[in-house]
Amino acid sequence: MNIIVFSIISAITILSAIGVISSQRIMHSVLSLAVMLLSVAAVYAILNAEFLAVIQVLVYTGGVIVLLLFATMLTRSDLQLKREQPSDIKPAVAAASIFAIGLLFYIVGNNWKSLKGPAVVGSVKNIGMLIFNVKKDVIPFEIISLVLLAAMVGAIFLGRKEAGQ
Amino acid sequence: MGLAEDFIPIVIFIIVGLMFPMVMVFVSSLIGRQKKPEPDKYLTYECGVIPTGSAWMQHNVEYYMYALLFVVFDVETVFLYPWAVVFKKIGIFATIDVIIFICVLAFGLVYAWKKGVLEWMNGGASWR
Amino acid sequence: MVLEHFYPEIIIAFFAFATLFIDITLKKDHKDFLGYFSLAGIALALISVIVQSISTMASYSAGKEVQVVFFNGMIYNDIFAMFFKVVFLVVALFVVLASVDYTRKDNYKGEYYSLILFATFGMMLVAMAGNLILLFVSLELASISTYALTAFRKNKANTEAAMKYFIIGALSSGIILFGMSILYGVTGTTNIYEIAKIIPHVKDSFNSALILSVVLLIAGFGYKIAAFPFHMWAPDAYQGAPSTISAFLAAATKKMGFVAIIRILVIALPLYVSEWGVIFGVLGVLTMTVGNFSALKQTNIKRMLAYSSIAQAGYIIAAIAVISSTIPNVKYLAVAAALLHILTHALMKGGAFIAVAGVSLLGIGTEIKNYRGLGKRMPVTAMALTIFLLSLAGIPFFAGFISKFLILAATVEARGIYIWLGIFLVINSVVSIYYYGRVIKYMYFEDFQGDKLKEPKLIATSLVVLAFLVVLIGIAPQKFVHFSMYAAASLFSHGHGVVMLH
Repeated sequence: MNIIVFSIISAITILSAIGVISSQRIMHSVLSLAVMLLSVAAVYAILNAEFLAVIQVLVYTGGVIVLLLFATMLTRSDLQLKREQPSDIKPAVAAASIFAIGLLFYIVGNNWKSLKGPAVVGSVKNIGMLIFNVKKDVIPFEIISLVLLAAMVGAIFLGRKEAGQ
Repeated sequence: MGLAEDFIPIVIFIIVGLMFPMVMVFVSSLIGRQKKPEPDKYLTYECGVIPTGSAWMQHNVEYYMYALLFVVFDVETVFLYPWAVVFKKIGIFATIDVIIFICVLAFGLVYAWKKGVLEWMNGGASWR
Repeated sequence: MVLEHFYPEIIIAFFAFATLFIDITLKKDHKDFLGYFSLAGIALALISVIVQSISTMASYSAGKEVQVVFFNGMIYNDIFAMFFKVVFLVVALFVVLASVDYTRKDNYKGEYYSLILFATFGMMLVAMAGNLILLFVSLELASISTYALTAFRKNKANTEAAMKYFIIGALSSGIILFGMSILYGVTGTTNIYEIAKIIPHVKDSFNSALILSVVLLIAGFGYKIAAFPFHMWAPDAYQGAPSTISAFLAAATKKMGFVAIIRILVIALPLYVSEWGVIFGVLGVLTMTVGNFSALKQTNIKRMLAYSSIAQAGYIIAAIAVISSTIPNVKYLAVAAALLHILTHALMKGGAFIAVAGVSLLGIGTEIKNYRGLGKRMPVTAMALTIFLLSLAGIPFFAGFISKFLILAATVEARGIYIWLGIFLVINSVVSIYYYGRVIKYMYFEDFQGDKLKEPKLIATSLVVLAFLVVLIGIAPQKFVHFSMYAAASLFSHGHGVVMLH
């Protein structure tokens, strides 16, 4: 049962990822990206990482995609929003294939059954116990607020309008 | 495994959501056959007004800034959720953590506000 | 009290916030104050790091245990970390000092300085991180700040540079994260020192996963340090970015990649030392060769400096490769050599880019032929630039010579195949003299009719101090070599005492 669901979802993920890079209109790319992010959320859900799945929907589909849509709409309508054919995709294909082969070795070549499973199941409660514990991850948690602040300052800094622009 | 079954309602929801527009388009194509085609009938329906221009217009950068601030505080909300769950167990320490976290981001909001990012008037305010 | 060990970080974080806060309250004409304000913060933090490292070294020599591990292994504040913090803070100090002149006419100074401070804070945390999550988050903090800084003036060149830097940076972060996630998945912990303990138990069943993780980590950090196949972004980014930010990128941000990769590979993956030793050896040779030979044909000084920065990274990578030597104590020498070269390269490359900033501030272009007669027009800048270039080329009595010599010594000590690394290093150094010398030739030995220009004071000050440091390390390197030796020893001591060197 699970394997069927997983195959369907990963097929959707891969197809929509291909859609992102191959569709001619930028809007279609953004929509395929939304589908891809949603199906990744579904993968998380299958893996019992419910919190991650919720975050994925909330932050990526709810926030980042909206941001991307606004960014797309910032562009002028008279611009040709058609994708230019990349001149030579062979090196990229070669690099991706090498990477894929490496991943295959990674999947096949290890004794995954010997893993005991995650030390901590990714439930909301366990995540809370991790990030609010001074012996665990509280410092990275506080640093995240700085990352967000720096990103906010940086984006405001870059999104400014110069006089006369 | 347990969780997959929990998501069956969502799966049904998605299927219904996908079916709905398809059925609508199919039904309207059944009952809305053009018997006497005229150019006006093919216009996009826009509340009875004749549509002008393209649907694609250039938006102000302010929209983008709003979306950006939204994403930042969206991420913050995500972190507040586990805090609420473990609040009873960890107590005051977790609260201090979260207060620091919120203060840092609130400071960012004050900064954005002072910079005039939230202002829409004055012809789309170029901020200081 | 735990906090007293983190004064430098607290100071930097405080000043980053304070700079932003003052920026929103200050009137437009007074914003130069922000530069001096953040300068004061960095200087304070630098002093406190230096005091901290001197006292730590003293207690080590006296045989006293010093607390190094904090927050349950989240932070390792050892001399290795302090060494890098000194490098980052020195670079930040001079970049900010030069920026006061360089950005005098620009708006958005508050963002500029606070982002530099945030980036410095992130880099300092990367240097101390004993945990993969903290390492990654602080890496992102530093990277995101520098992405925005690269596009500071928002002209076409800045924007293009920032976009390339951002896309490559985001990609490399993803690769790094994948590598880290494999480590976590296999060992079940994110603490670098715990991972080292667990890996022997899981090595048999997860050999290929761990090798993939090593490869991904090297590839991801290879982008950050602009090692050979991953170096394409660096010349474009350094050329397009504002020159002071190029100095920051080349001298500080790049070093962040080194501290992270050294700590992860040396501490967590010593069992794969032969694998990553080979990778680093090959990458080192390729990186220095490609960097030097590409630099030969550059006509733009910023591009040339970028390629030279790639070449210099190649020397450091070669030194890291020597860590895999099985001869006892050579690994200490190798790490110390890499660290010293990181320090000297930060000084000279930061100085060279700041000199370029000073020159371009006066309206002289960044093509090398524009530097004709600079020796007469801007004597201080030209003199300092000459010192930096000679040092980069590895001429004796300058800092670059000492650190290169140390790397060479490490390769010779390691014997066997490692000697080839040393041979390549020497050949490359000889090649590099040509393109460094060409700039000097243009500055001093080409006829040019032009007025003497008024050199920007603060940039000239920072150049003089940097040049002084470069010469000082070249003439009296003992203290600095000592510091890097201690740093190397503390890296291998896993937070307990120090193995003394002879």
